[in-house]
Amino acid sequence: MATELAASTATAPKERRFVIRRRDIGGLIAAILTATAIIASFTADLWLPVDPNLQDLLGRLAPPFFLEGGSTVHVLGTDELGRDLFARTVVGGQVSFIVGLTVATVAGVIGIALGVLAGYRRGFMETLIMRFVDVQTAFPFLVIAIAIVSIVGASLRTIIVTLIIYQWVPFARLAHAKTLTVKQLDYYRAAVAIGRKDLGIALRHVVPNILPPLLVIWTFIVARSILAEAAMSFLGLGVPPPTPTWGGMLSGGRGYLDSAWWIPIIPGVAVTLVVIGVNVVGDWLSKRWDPRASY
Amino acid sequence: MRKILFARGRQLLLVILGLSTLVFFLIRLSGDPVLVIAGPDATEEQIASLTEKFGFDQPVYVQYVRFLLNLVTLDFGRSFLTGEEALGLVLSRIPASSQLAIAALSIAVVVAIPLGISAATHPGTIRARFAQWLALAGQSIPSFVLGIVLILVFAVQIPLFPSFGNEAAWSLVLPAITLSSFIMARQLRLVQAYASEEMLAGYVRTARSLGYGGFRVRYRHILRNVLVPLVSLLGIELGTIIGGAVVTEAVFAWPGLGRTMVAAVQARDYPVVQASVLVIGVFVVLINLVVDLLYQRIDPRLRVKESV
Repeated sequence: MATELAASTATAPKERRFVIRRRDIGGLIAAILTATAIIASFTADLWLPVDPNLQDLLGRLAPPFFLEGGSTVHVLGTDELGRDLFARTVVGGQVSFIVGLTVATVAGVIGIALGVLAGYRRGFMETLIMRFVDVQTAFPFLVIAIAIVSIVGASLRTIIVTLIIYQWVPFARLAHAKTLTVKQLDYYRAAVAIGRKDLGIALRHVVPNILPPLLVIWTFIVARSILAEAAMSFLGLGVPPPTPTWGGMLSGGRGYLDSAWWIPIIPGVAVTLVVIGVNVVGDWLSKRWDPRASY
Repeated sequence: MRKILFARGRQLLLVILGLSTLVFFLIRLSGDPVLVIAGPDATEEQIASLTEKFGFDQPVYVQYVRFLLNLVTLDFGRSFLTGEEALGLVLSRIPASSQLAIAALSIAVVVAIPLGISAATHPGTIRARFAQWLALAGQSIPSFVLGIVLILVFAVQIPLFPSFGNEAAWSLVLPAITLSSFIMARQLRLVQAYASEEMLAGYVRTARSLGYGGFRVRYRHILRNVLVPLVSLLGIELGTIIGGAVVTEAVFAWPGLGRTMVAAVQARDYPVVQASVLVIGVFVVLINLVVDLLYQRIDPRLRVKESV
């Protein structure tokens, strides 16, 4: 065992170390900024000087500091109830990030498990799973999700579950295709030849080798889930108030476009920047790992 | 051809049956719809008479069978709110929605194809960078944010276009741009990626060596080969486009199918919800049929394969 290990480390290629090249800089910056936004949002209780739900009817519709009449008391101004927009935007990110990260991760685990199973077992299992994938792809599932949420009632849990049902499909499709490729390769045949169990082969040999492109998809699904949640909140089908959400803030501020345009624009900019950040990270990872997989 | 029609026809039936059954049971699971129709101030007698009128006093399987029979005759019942025939109400919204969708798709294609191809033929230039940034922006800006920014700039600050409704022809401009942004971004990326690959193909070199100009090579030769993935993208992203249309219609108060559905959902107007979900489902199947047929027009190889 010990000699085996020594031999394998000796022949391992050295260039797989993580080297930062010039073209990685953009992606790294995006990753750091996105991570900062996520951490800032979840630790808001610790550092935010104002309560995001504190109303101040006398100080309502205050403009941000860079406009005439703005002050640094409310850096990004206040909304129609005098609540601090900066605080609400920071806290509003929590719902977006919880939905984006949970949906992409759970959908990823389910999708990869089913995709690998389909590619590994073939036969009836494959037909069944891939049929499901086909049917869901052809469907405007967001429309059905809207119907489901409206009937069952809007809550964080309903939104997450509905989006998971929607988003496992791209993972399953890619995992299936990649598993079929791996099964043609020598190291897979070697593992079969030395008599490893199916589950062991799947977990130790198949999954780790198909993971990079799936991680790329994961980032795009995070972005798409954030967008979907914001759209549902905007339509009034998201997490109910008083919890601040970007989509909800935007929808509530629409009536003030001619008097206080910053109320809907600030959360809109927030969601756009976060989605750009996540998409840039995804693009960067996909170029780094697989030049041909531009999703 | 006949095989495709048959397969899609079967799919159409499955979609109609599956979707309507799903919506039927979801509605019954979510509590007593009569309480919603009658409102909070209704008396016992009113609730009882409404329950009987809509048949909610029957066992669920009786209701389901009756629902299926009504489905065969395309009878979804009447809107709880306005008393209009639900299907008729939903169908009357289709022209406004298709207008919006066709305008948006046209904008997307007109921007994405020339820009994508020229970005691919000029890699590393400002043009290519611009295409990449535009694709990233279009894919990342949510439609409701873009819509509100457009309203703020072009309807409130500079009053060029109306901010809602569809009275005048130019009221289509802002919603169409809003809806087109996401699909335009996806098409742009795809055209750029595929066209860059096609640039290396032998036929491009042959055409060039025969003395054909850049325009002809790009639009006669490269474009034809990019069209197949472009059309299949349409099928794949159809769900996203329809979702985007629902949001866009809500932003601009566009009197289309999406807005009707959202309004019905918020008012728990179940017959209208059922009818709209079903009509959208049928549309999706039909558009997929068109995509299938388009494949065959675009790529002769697929025609041969099927006749063998």
